[in-house]
Amino acid sequence: MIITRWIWIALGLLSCVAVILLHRQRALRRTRRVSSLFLWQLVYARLHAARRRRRLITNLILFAQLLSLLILSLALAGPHRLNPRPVVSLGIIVDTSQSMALTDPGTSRLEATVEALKEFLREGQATRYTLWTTTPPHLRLDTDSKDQLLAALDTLSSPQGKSDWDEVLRALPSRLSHDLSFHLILAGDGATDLAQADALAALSQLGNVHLMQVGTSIENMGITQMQVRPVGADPWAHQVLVEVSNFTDSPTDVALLITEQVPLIDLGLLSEPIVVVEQSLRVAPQETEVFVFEWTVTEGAVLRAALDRHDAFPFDDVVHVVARQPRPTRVLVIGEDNHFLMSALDVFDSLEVIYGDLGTWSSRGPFDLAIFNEVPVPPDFAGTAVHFAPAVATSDASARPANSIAWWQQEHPLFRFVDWNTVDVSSRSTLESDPAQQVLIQGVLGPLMVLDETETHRILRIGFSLNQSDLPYRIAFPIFLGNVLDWANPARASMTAPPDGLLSRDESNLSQRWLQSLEPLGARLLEPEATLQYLNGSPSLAGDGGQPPSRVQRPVAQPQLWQWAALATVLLILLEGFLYLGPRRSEARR
Amino acid sequence: MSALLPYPLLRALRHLRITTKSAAWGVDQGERQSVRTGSSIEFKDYREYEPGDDFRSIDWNLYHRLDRLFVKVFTEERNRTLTIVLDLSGSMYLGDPAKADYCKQVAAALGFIGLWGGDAVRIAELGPPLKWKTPLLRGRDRIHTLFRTLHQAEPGGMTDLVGPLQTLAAVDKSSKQRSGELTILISDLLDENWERALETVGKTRSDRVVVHVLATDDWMPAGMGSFQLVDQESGSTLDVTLDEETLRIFHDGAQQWLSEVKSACARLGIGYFWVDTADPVETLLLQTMRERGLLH
Repeated sequence: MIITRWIWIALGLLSCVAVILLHRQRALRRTRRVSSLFLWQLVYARLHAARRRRRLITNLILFAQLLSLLILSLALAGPHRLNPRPVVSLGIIVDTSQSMALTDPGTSRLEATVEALKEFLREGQATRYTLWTTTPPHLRLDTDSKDQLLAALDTLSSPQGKSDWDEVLRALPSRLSHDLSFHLILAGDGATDLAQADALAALSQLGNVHLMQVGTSIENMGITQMQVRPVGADPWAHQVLVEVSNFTDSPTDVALLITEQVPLIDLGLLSEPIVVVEQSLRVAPQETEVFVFEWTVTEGAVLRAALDRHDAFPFDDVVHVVARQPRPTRVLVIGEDNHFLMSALDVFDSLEVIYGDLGTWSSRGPFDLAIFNEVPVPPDFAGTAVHFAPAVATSDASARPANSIAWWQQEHPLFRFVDWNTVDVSSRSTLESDPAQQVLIQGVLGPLMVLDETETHRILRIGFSLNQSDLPYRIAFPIFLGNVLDWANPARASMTAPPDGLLSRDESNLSQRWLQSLEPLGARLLEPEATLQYLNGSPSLAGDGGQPPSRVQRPVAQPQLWQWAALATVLLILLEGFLYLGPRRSEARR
Repeated sequence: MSALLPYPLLRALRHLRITTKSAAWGVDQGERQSVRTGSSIEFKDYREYEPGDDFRSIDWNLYHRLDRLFVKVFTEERNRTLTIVLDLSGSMYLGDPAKADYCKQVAAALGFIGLWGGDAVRIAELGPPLKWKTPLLRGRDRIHTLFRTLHQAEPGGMTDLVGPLQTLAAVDKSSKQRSGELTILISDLLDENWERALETVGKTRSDRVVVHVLATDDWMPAGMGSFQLVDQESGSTLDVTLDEETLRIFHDGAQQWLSEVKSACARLGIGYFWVDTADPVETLLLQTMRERGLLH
């Protein structure tokens, strides 16, 4: 119980004292002379019995008055009840993109975020904690222990890469507990305009969403976009677009230097940088300049764009593009041979398909994807896999109708360009799904396809055999497999773009060379207006509902007790009136 | 003539006589008897006829001679003795009017009737011990003495009904007079020994009458609240909280006690008159006592 206005309690206690004094005053006896106490003593026994009852009634009235005053005072003091046990599910998404490595005065933004979260978590308890990061692997922790959460915050890896907020927000609902009040904290430097994300609107329907932003505004000038696309008939000819943005408040002159390093095959080294283009740009404040030029690439060459400017955010001052032969996607098929599956996999280029067993997974790995066709996935499997359930026996199936498709998640990347409405499933089996798994296709009898994602494995479980549906005959089948391959090897998509196998992103050694592909959307949030100073105040889970500062915050309804207190007071006053008036009424009636 | 009784009342009382035959004071109302006591009487005087006088006492000879009606006034062969015992204890202070004043008025009226009718009258006050306020008074000329004595009597002291009445009973026992005596006890009887007191009165050979005088506050108190009741005589206290229910309980108890007193008097052959001081004394004397046969 929390009391917010103690002055009312004090006034109520004073009123109680006044009422007691009044009752004492009323109880003072006046002297009355009588001829003799003889008659009074004669009826004393009966008087005494009445007096005891009368005293009880008088005390009841006093008690009722005191209780009324106390309840009214309590009601006016504005009490509200805190749940004795936490029923809150707390989700935390930490921005671990490269921008969080920026060092503000004293500490990096990630460190500042972790400290802010620890301060927020210092008091109070939640029933369930989930920790997400915007860079893979997204789900870092799902636990009921705050200590484990604090430990996991300390072990967050160094910021790198680009945030994939959409992927995080898409996976988040699978980790919701519907019986708990859900609170989600988006912690980062605000280098993502979440207000424009559709997923945020969906999340706000699930619970309370809070933004926790750290970071200081900086005078930044950087390359916000660098795109390379083939042009013309020559497959090696490309057009390069470099976008330079000025986030300062004054016009800035900057020199854009583009160099190329050619691989020396024999030596295994890169040549000295060769200047491709040197261009001076004058960028107006808060404006963007685009510079486009053509470039004929050499396999293995590194194209580097750099600004001759060093500011507090140096990561967007240099951008690399590497041209190299892409690595094929490696797929291991385990289980029954399936003609349709084999035929579909043959369609894809840059795909290395191997048929084997679990021993092959370890002996000839690594593989990007394992397809378990009608054989179970080992419980300790680590990696990415697709599992087709075995066919159900006919005798069992006759007892139930087919588990036809009821609905499916049309927005999921695995179903891009796939229309499941045209697919018939004759299987009558269903999948077991726990709340942590995301249902992608729901049949009339139960889940047909679920996505099981943990820190160690990603398994797409399909509840029917290919032989028990007409999926292989549909155009959706190869498209679906393509989506699965993209899901297993996200870099595959860029590799398949013409000229085949020419361009790729080298993410093997980001400390040396990496492709900075800052979206304008993200960079814009480094503006002084968008990048908040440090948190206003110290948020906390406890106290006043434990609400952190929030831009998107739904008011938390707190149970109000004063209505019940007022009702109790009215009843007590009625009781008092009855006690006072009841005997007189009966006397008059008599 | 007296501050105790107004003159019109005295005029009315002159025509009343006290009936000393016990049978005349039966508790049943309406039983009246006009027979004069005493078997042999002596002529004493004439007086003018007044309505209500016995026709047999009219002197028709005088009527023929004077053309006016006169009645003969006789004197009993042995004078009747009227003993009026007053309770003037401290409790008689209370009431509106005070019970003591009311008692003195009743005593004065009865004494006046007795003296005016030729009876011997004496006044005693309950003690302890029994205090004789007057000797036996005889004759109308002693009416002043009677009134003065009563007027000067002041209430006070504790109530003791039994002891003085036992003294009175002893005096009655030693008296040579065997008939025609009347003892009138005027008291509020607010004593725990009231029954013994009545039994003592009942043992006397004379005719007995009890005039039970109570103030309204004695048997039907009013006013609600918390009180500390103080006994007027003893000063002892009792804490009570009076409300309607409590007052009703007390009133019922008082009524029951009055019934017991009345029953005891009937059982002991004592004439019983209960009066509230709020009732006019004229009503008691001119109506109640005449209806009940004590006066005629």
